Amino acid sequence: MKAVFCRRRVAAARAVWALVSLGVAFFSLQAFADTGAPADRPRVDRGLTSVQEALAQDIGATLRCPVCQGMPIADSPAQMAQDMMRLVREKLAGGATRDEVEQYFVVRYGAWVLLRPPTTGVGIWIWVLPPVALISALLVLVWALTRARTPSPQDFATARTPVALPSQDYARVRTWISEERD
Amino acid sequence: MNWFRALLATLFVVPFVFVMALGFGQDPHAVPAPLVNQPAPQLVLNDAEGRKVDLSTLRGTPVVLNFWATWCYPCQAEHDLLQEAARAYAGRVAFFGVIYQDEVSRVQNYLTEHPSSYRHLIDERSQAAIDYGVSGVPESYILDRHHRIVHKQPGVLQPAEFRRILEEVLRT
Repeated sequence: MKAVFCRRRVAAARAVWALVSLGVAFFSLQAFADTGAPADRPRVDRGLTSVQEALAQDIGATLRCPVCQGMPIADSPAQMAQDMMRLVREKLAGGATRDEVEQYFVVRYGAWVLLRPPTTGVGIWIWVLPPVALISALLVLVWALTRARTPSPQDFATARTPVALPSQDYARVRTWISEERD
Repeated sequence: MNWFRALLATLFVVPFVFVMALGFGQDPHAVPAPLVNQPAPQLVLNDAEGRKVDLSTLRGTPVVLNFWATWCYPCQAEHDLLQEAARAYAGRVAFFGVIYQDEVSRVQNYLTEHPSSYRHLIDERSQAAIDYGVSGVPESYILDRHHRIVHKQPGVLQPAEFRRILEEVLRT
């Protein structure tokens, strides 16, 4: 019986661990989602087509403002961020692609300037690890819950660890069992 | 705990500790400087008096670019150091101040009260600041004779380190 209790405690600990991992993975994914562009951002027309302006806002939402605390340039009121947004618009108006605009800033500030990490090189791990952690946490959770099922009489019978109770406890257990049967 | 559990725990713990250790060793506010050891971006600006300065015409002379503003107290703190260095290295190193997000009238008033031995360039719309990857002021860039950026100093310049870099640039 002691072995079964221990097993259940271990299973419960595994379940808690899996839940913590799930939480970490969830908040990691949410952190990435937070860098997206807010839907209510005002539209600013500066000689760009609506498609180009939407692209400028989208690029601006993924570029980190270098003088702010982790804010995208599209949302920052800082003069530097507004000047960077103006540059993004100018480059798009001049026919630059999204990659070219991003590359311009990466050359000057490094990949650090991208709020959305690159999908190549070391940056790939930032995309790969959260889903891997999520899937493995789910697998561990399923495994832990399956093992934490109510023990059957056969479990007691086949328990490998012998139950060693002091004689007075053994007598009390026998009394409880007989009372339950009655 | 059997060997399998120990291995599993190690597989989870070691990368976690590694990532944490990596993070603790870095300044979270530090902005990378990928332009160091790269050719300096082109810089053509007007000074406070409206005279044009084209950095490419100074090729062959090391250059110190100091991004600053009158509203920035640390910039004011390093003003004397820069003036002293500009006098000490006159004719050998070209010094320029680049005004970062400030009003020309304020700059002119400041320079009247705190005379400068070198020119100060007006960076309208932060084009030069963005081109150089500036992330705040004061920020200084030291260019060698070939106008390759050899040093970027975010924050106030340290006299001994500044002198050492200038001497090194003059030797090469």
